[in-house]
Amino acid sequence: MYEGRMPEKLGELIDRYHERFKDDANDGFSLFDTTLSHDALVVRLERALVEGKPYDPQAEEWDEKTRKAVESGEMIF
Amino acid sequence: MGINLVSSAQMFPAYAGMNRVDAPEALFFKKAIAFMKSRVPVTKDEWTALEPKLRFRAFTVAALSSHDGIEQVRRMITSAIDEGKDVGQFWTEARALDAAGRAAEFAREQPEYLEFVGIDDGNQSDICYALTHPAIILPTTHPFWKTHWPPLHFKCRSTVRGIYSEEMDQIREENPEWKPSDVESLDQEPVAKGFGGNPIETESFYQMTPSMVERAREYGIMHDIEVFAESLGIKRRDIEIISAEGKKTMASPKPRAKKTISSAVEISFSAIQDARIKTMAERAFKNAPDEVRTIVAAHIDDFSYRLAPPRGRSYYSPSTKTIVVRRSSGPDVFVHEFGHGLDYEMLSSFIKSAEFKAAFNEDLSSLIDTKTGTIFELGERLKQDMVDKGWENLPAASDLFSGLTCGRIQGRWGHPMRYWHIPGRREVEVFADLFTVKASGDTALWSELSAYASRTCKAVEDALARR
Repeated sequence: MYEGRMPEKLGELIDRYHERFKDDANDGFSLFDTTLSHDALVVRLERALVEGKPYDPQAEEWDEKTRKAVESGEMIF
Repeated sequence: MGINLVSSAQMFPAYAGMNRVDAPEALFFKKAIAFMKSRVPVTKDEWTALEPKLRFRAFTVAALSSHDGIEQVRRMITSAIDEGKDVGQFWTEARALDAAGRAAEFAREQPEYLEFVGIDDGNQSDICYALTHPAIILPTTHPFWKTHWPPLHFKCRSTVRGIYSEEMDQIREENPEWKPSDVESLDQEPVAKGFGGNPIETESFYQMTPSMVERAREYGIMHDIEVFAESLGIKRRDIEIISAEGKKTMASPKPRAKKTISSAVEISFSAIQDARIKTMAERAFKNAPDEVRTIVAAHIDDFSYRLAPPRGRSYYSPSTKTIVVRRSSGPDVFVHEFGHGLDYEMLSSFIKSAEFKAAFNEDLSSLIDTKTGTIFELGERLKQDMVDKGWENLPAASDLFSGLTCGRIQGRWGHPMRYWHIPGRREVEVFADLFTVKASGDTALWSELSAYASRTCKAVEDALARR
């Protein structure tokens, strides 16, 4: 079974992020969906927590074609 | 316990297993006083930057130290350091501490390759020069790293850096002829006696020695040490305490049994053209039980397979019946996408069946209140197990419960809330996640997860068995 272990700091940051935005319908963050490097991701998640606005990799990193393919069911992750 | 009082010296016993030239074979607590020479306190920032197990290691010694009046000794020794005594010794140990931290980090997030990095100046030793001209780059699992983990000698300044799959992909794209270093033909100076051992291999850097255990119990601070370890994310099972007789005195749960299934069901992957995907597929179903192997063998030829472009994602396309995987993906990703394909094509969208929907909803209702989102007692136990059993770091398990509960109970991996709000996606992913666990052959994990999603697990098992 693949174990997606990560540095503890990032893990704790993700835990805090999930707790903070668990009821926010605009939350789009998932480790599956981001292509940011480790350091960039830490900075981005910290920024989201400071600003109180969830991070949405689909809006920030995906192209329109991919977004539509996911919504239409053409791409199943 | 003031964390700013912890010094790198207090961690020195951790290297007892590294066979240092001047280190004792086994550390006895009173001898720790002698090791206080040439140590300086670390700052709070430095402390925070330490790898958790090293912090735990520091804490245990620090806790004992304060009870034994060692702080007084430390202050005396610190003043000696101010006079410039034994600086080389301190430097070497500081490098060892840094290298141990890196080794721990790489153990948790394993790079594809490691590169030996030296400082190319007039002070570089012959040992390190030979390993950096050209730089040694080898797979992380190569035995070379068991014997060549810096420091390799007294005052060594070299280190090791990890090269992850994305960087390796870039290296290979820029130079298709690239090969790892050939250490067999290396004209290499021998590593200094007592150096080069990988601290992760010995696992000695966070173990408590028998005398430390004895002292901790005598002072009544054993519980404090355990609580502190947990606060750093170090599970009880990871705190290896070896008694004087060599027996573990703290219970350590057995690791999950990873049973290798001996199967008579052969799967031919000849339809997969790309060699990398083929290798991925072979590894993916290596330990799968017969009911999985049977269905895979029957349908492996029904799909097309291709690699995703750089920075692309892994997915299944129902319209073209294509499984797309990133080149850096692990076998589990292949299984997950194959699971989507099975569900859509061979099981006639099993997730839309009344059988699956009923099971899904029953399991969901046992974990949370679907109207208020309140987490029930079973759900709270699941949340605890996500942490205690490490499921938060298992993408399949974490995503499974995130999908089942629409993100109310999840680990660190999982699809985002927005994805869960697309109708049908939660069910689709839950099936693929359960198929991934089933295909792994990890029957113990399957059994443990079934305790929280019993009906859905059974529905999936039944569907696979019917095929």
